[in-house]
Amino acid sequence: MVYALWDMETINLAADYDILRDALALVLEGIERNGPHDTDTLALDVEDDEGNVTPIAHGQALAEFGKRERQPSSIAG
Amino acid sequence: MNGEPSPETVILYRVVLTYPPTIDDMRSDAELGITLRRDDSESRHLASGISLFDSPERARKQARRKPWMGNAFIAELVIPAHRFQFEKTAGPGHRCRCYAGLCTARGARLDYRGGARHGVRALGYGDNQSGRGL
Repeated sequence: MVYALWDMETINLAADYDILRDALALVLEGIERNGPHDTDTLALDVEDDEGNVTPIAHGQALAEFGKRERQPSSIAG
Repeated sequence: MNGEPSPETVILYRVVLTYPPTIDDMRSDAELGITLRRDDSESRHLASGISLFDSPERARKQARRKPWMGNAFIAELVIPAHRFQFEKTAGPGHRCRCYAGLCTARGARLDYRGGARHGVRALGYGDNQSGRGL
């Protein structure tokens, strides 16, 4: 499984991680560094070993998801 | 871009949002001035490349599953290999990145016309809502 962060405007991969927690850490870091609109152009999806893609969240929903999952005990990946 | 690529060319595929694709679709985040979320060497390295796929099927699979892509297109890039640096990223999706800012710098010289030896052309189109095209 790979958690991939994509820029939705440039269609470039911003980062990818094996662990969801690491991906969300970057999301939160971006908000802290660039402001609350940093996720406006950011999308998170997960790709399985067969290359199948499942969207997780994007835009403000991604920011909310990151904040919600900030507590380590609530993150499975 | 007719027939098989020559030995010194590489064919890769990019999801783009405009048809036909333009040079602006081939720019890295760094060139576009996208602010880094983490200012380290790895992030800077990633931001200096553009994301590509090794087959149209891979690109199509990605585009179809992502509602935020809306109406997306796939561009086929026939790239002079010696001018670019390629690097496979993690994951099973056979993504790779074209690096060193050369994509844009050289891309400006790419010929978008169908008969060009090196260039870019749109392979297909569609939207995620209907499943047509892509």
